Amino acid sequence: MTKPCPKESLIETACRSGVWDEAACTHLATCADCQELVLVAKEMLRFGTAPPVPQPNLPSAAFLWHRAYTLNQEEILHRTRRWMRWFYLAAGSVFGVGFGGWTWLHWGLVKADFVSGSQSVLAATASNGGKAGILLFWLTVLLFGFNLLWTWQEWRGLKTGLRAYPRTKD
Amino acid sequence: MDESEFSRFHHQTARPLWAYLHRLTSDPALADDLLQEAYLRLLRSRVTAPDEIHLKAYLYRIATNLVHDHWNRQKQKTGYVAEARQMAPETLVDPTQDFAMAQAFQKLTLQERSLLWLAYVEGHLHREISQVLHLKEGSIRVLLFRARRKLAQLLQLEEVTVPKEKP
Ligand SMILES: [Zn+2]
Repeated sequence: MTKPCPKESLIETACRSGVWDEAACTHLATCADCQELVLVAKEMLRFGTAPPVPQPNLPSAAFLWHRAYTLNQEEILHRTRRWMRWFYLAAGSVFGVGFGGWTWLHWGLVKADFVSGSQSVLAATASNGGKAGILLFWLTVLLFGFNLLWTWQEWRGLKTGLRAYPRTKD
Repeated sequence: MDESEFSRFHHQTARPLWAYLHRLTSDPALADDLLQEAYLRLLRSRVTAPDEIHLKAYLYRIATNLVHDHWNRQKQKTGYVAEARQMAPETLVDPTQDFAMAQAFQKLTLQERSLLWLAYVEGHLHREISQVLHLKEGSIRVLLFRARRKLAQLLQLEEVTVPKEKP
């Protein structure tokens, strides 16, 4: 036969419960497919319940519980750090635009020093009393620098892969 | 689920789950790793199951997915699926056990192994098997039938003794 026997569930139930009623016994005596089912089920149960030669290295429930807790905490931290990175990037961009805007607005003063001497835009703004401009510049550098450092650290973390953690036995 | 509930659940399921993973993968070390990962995923998913039977089905579902993911990664790496990997005989079975059965089991596909194990070792109903293996409940009967037939042919099972006990 290429299709399962329609009375298969009767035999499966008997196999599972171990209770063989007359209907199941009578059917089994005449059905080759169900006989095969009984044999395979018996073999599988014997195979499945035999003790394995290599002993399992089972982690304890306490270890798993605490490991899951730690991983959850790490995930929360990772999510927070990701949001903070976006925040730093956005803040850095705002300060950068602020610094550029300030320089553009005070270009007359900045240009005078910049063109005449060897001073940089930064020094020029400073010499023109642009404390706000300097502050904006350094905030931009700081925030972008911090972000770069963070990205590099995470990239390094990815390269080294997942950390292995020790297993404890029951 | 609190820690004590998990501890009880772990105590009941860890060894059978390891045996399932071991027979699916034929690799004790891999079974160790996948078991640990399955429990961690179960705990981290914070799933709320109505009872331990559902929770167990969910755990087996995670474990089965992990095995599939593992083989898929292997396939991407090596270009073939080493489902029926050949292990040294001593790592397969106890010397007192039937070596033929272990060898025949290795020749089945992952799905066939899962089906037979869940049905006849774990004693799951077709509905539960369908949940674990992401299959339609209606297709389990036919798939199980084919898997049984294949294993029976591999084992060359022929004889059966009709049970005499009656209720
Ligand atoms: Zn039948």
